[in-house]
Amino acid sequence: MNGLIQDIRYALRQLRKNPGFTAVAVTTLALGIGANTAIFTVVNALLLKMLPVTSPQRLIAVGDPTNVNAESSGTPQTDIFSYPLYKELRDSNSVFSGLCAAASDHHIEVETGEEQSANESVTGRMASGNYFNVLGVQPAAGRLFSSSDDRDENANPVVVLGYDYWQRKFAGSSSVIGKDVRLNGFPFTVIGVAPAGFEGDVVGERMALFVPLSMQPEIVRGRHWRNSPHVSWLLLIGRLKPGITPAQAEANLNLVFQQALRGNYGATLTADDMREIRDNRIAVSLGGVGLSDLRGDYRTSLLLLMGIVGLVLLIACVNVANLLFARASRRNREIAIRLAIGANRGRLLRQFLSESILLALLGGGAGSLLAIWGVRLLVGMFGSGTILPLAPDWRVLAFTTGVSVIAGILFGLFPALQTLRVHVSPALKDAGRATAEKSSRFGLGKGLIAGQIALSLLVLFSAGLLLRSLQNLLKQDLGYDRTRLVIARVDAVSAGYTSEKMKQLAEQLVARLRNTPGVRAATYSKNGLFSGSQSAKEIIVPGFNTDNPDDRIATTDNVGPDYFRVVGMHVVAGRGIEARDTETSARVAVVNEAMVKYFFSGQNPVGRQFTIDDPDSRDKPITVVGISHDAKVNSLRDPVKPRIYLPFQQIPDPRQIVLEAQVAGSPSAVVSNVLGQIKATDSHLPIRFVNTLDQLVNDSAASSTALAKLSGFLAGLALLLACVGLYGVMSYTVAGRTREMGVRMALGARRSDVMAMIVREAMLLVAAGLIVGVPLALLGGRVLNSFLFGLKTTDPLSLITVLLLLTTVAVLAGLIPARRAAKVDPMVALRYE
Amino acid sequence: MMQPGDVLIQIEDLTKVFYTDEIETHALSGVHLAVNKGEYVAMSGPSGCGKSTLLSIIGLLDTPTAGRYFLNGKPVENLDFAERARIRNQEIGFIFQSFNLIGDLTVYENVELPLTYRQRMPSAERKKRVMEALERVGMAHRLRHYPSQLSGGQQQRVAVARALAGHPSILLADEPTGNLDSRNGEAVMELLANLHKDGATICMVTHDPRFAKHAQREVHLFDGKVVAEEELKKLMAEVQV
Ligand SMILES: Nc1ncnc2c1ncn2[C@@H]1O[C@H](COP(=O)(O)OP(=O)(O)OP(=O)(O)O)[C@@H](O)[C@H]1O
Ligand SMILES: [Mg+2]
Repeated sequence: MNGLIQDIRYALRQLRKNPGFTAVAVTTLALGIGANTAIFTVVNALLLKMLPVTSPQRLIAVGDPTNVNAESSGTPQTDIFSYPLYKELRDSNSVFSGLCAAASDHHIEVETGEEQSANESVTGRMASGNYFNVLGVQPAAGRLFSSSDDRDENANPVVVLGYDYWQRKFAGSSSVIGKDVRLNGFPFTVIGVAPAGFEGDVVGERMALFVPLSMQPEIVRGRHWRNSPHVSWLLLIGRLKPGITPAQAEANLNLVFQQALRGNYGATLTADDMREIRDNRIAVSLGGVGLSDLRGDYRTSLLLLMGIVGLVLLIACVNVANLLFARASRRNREIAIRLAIGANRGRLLRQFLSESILLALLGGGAGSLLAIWGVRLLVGMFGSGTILPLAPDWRVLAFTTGVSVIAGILFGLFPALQTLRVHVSPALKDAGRATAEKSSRFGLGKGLIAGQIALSLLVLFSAGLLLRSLQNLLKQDLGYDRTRLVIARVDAVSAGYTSEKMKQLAEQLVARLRNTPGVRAATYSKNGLFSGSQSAKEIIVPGFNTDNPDDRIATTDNVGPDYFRVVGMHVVAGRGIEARDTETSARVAVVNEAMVKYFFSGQNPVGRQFTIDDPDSRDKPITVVGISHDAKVNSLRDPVKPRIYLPFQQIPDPRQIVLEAQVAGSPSAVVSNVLGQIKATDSHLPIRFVNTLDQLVNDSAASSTALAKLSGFLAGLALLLACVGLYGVMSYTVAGRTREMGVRMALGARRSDVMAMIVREAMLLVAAGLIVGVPLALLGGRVLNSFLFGLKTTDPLSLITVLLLLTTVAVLAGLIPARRAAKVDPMVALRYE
Repeated sequence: MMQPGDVLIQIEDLTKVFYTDEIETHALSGVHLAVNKGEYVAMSGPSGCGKSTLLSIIGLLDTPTAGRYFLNGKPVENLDFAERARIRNQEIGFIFQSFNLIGDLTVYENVELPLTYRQRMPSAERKKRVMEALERVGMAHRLRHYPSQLSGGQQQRVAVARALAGHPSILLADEPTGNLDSRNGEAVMELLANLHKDGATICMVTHDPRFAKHAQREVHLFDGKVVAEEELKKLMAEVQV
């Protein structure tokens, strides 16, 4: 212990004695470790951090925990659940002490009744009565609702406020308890406040309020989901009974599920439903980390970034190792003296390592400060409303400390061992003539530089591939002009519109939009373009036979009159959907080219018929009246799927309205006009968004954009560090070879000869690095396969570009020491020291 | 073509002043010197009298502050760096006190070095010259060795070979035996004497009167000036008092 303190004191003195060295080393490490900490902080928040609830490690998510905010009607599902199925699982399982359910988030209009506060639209969730109880959450004020608050439909108008919303809206006043507020126009009583830090069970979202599931018909007006086995809208979280493992829980839930299918629950299903879900298995996963759809989108990207940033740290470590090498050779004499007077090598090794670990910890500390800023940049990669629990916790602290210590050992060990290899006698004699001694003692440092170049090529190439993919992704032809449209999505269901009223509303909205300044034409649809909503149906096409129903799925949209002309999709044969396609007219469809190819083997289908494979539609054949050009409608990455466009007015329940407005000038200038027109039509209609299509398309590529930009940033950092490393080593060798340069010039070398020699030496290192780096990069590129778009993992253009970039920057890094070498006065050759 | 007896180096009223931290050092003040082709000149004088400075100006490593310098009849004091590098490379062979072989290069590569700075010399020609030079100094059997594997005397012989390889007009040596014991020192001196016998022009700085005897002519420097031998003795005696 005493020895350790002594080591640390000595190490501190050494670092203070060489402020320049310490500053450069700490800065380098701070960049490397800071980048790691920043990305780990986000990884921690999204993937690792536990919910602030009682014993989160005992919680189990049931279903697909990334499928939050999904609702599905039609065939029952087992990744999200209907209320009847939830009830079966809740009441018959033997593995959970409690199983709670929560619906997707909903935009809820809040009226507090106070005069000065305007109506506000907030995000809230419907949750089962046992929600807070199962999670183990205590109220910050008042009480939380319980099972008794969730018995009969519509009978429990109580609301629990989220802590932040309570603070913001009600200034944290407890007088709000017992007060009435109107949610979507219906009076609710505030009974309590959820604790600080508890944002709900979905990571990345902050709930303003919670209401019992039984109040669904008031939150989503005019709908009754609670008793329907055909509306799947719930995600489940269970708390394991003591001694039960997740695997046992999964087995038991599936047993209960199969029993339910044979019992009362199964009796409510059609034969088709049965066939669909009979073989499904309910999946479980650890629930303590909460649910998150972001996790699905960003998990692999974040892990990839973690890998890249690890490489960057490795590169930073090489730089510091080289600094230490350079310093070690200056300390040879000191070490020799220590050894001569009987110091033991193990003891000295410990001393050196304490010094490098101390250095790394200083770097880690400075890096943590950089990380605060880095994290702020990183969260920009998620959508604007995303709230992640980013506050550093013990895990981040442990990570940073661990990474620092490992880095310290990594960069400290080799130089320390090298130093200790010193032979006592010649070092003491100090007779070595600088020029006559071979300089290969610095060979290891040069080898490290080559390795560093190889690693930075890998990082650069990865970033190159990702950036080029992003460019391909964003620049592709979508099949229509994305720069001329404004899209709006409204939630007519929540506002209580029936199907009939909704169809009229769509026509009213479009009529108003057509007369809006800046709007040239307008139409409506159910899903539209990049609205975040999509539908698919199994279909039956005479002549197209397959055993697997999944092979008969087509994506669908329901569109208003003139849809194709307004959005600018080409109708290549037949006609588009028109005003004459009303509820009472013959049922028609426009299909896309992918559909023609897949279901009609490329034959012109105009005039042919198909049916939608569900009980209500099987007896209503649909006639194909037109073919639309293939277009990407909701994902830039996915290939165009077979798609059917049905008249909006002909379907029984459209559920939502997406508006499309074609504008004359700049679409962003028209957004607020469109918003105003919707409000003017119905001021209570919840508006999901009004945005330019261009923005929506870019948002849909947000994770690709973030990944590409971040990897580009890290590649820049890697390049910078590698060049600083190259510069450092070349400067060091040049400084140690002043006399050699003088002699060469005395023998007739011109300045340009000397410069060329140093640049050539630098380039030799770069070449060695590239020989290792190119195969490494090509190999590493394969990891990226699933991230790429429109190019191969061996994309030659990316490779050549980064090779040129790396070489150019390396030449520049080599030129500075080369110029210094060329400035040597040839007179030094004559000097005898 | 020059004949023996032609003036190779002509120096008139040469001065060299070093300015460091407001201190002026008059290293050379008004030096006149002429060296003929084929001559063997020894330069001696007390430490700090300007021997190395004079040699470095003769070798075009440094430029005089004032005065004139003709090499092979051409004025050289105002040439640019590249031109002087070319003349150093072709006309001058250096032998240094501390050998100054380059540790990363083999014996062969060290000797070849000045030839690599010469444009367009075919490699066969280079090889011939290197081998000739190494044979001349008796080091041809150590081609692949590195300097660190040689004794001091051997290193200096390689250095002489390096100076010879370019067939320079003149060999300049600054205390070539300064780092050698007397036996090795003798051997190098003998080598220089033989080279002179075969026609080389040599300008050598030495402290050692025994070695100065090898030369045809001794130039005495004192406090930056060339002085006659008797005068030097008188001045030295004064200094001692
Ligand atoms: N680069 C320089 N800057 C300043 N002063 C210098 C420089 N080089 C030489 N001098 C000074 O010029 C004078 C002559 O130096 P020089 O090296 O020519 O002496 P020397 O005769 O070779 O001595 P020694 O026998 O000790 O080698 C000395 O006073 C020396 O300090
Ligand atoms: Mg001298």
